[in-house]
Amino acid sequence: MRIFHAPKFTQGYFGYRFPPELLDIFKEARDATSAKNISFWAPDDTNLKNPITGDFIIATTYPLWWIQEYAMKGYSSIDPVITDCLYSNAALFIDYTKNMDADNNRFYTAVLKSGVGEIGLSIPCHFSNEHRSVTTFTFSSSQNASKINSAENIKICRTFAHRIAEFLLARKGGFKAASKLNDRELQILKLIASGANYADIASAIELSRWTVIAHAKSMRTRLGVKNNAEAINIALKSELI
Amino acid sequence: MILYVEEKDRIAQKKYLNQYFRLRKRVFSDQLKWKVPVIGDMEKDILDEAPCTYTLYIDQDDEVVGGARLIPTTQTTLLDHAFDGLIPSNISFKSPTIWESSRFCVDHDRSKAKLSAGAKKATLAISIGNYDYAVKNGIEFLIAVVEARLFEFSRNYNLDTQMLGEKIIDGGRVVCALYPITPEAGALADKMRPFVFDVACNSRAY
Repeated sequence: MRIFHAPKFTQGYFGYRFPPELLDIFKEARDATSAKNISFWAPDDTNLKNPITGDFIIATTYPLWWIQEYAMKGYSSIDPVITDCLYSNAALFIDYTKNMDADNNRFYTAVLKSGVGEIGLSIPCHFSNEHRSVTTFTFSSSQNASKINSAENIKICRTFAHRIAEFLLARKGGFKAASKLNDRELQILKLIASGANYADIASAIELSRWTVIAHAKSMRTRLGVKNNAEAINIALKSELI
Repeated sequence: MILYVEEKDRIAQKKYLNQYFRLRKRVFSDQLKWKVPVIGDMEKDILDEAPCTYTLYIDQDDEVVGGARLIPTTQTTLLDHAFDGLIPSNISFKSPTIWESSRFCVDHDRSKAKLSAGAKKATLAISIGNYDYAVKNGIEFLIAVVEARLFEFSRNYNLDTQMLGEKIIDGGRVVCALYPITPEAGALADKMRPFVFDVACNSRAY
């Protein structure tokens, strides 16, 4: 799971650093649509056959606790945004205060409790079978539902959903390389690329030199390279660093 | 009735989709003699494997009378795949709000009903169905490769339809046309709607 977190449209401290250019697109989309939150989901292409349980690339302004609860309670298996939109081209409008039935009642209640927004407009954006995504714009119930679901608003949301997807899916190669590494290995790779030696890294992240060397060796094995120079080369090509 | 079949619905709506693929084979391969991929009694190409939406018109006997395929131009389209060079290279049509309508066909044997203007009821129903889908989904333009005579016919409605390119293919003149989804198109669709849909079974019911 690669999570880019920007609570309330500010740089978050959980998961990966939210790319500043992407945060600008999110803010622009918020200003153009009056959305309360924006959330992008894309399955990792290696897990497309099972998008419900597979890994996702997520960029979101939702609160951290809601992301954690969503993952912990397995809401992706009943969230129509995931179950429908990843295999559809149609926009999906949901008023979470309505349309409750036995299947989605539990999820809709949780959405309303989370405060992320009472109305959701989800826009699929697929470039191919391997590159699929959906971006959800959530709105407050105080906003006019018919205006949110208007052709004009959907057009604007669709344009931004495309820009967000284009930005993130273009970097998917980087995500694939990164997904091979754990957070510690990625951290050490970044420090090696910055020119630090093992002793510097050990001191900076408060580990023993031998532990850093072991992590570096594991990182090279996972990337399938013989030395740190090759690892840095892959990282640069994949925009990991 | 108009039925929209998204990728997630393909298994549930297999019966209607297969009828549409069979119709495509009869129209594009058997009648028009286009060089299209045929598998058994169906015509299917590589774009049918990708995320796309079908607009199908189903008659009172529960049979598909016609249909069209909608693909966002941000994906690979038929224009990229089979009509390369039809649009001048200086025109960029790739946009999330421009979608391609392709494989538009009608079963002429089943679609006997004609309106006074001469347009087949099924043709009009699918066109209105495409318009409704466009409005519901924030689509600004539909782009399509059509026979020149159909393009000339559509210009009669003064909908600002533009021609992006034209070419002679297999001896016939084809045109790449851009159809704007405008309030004027909506007014025309609403005017024609009662003539092609039953009140209880119209294209908005999806």
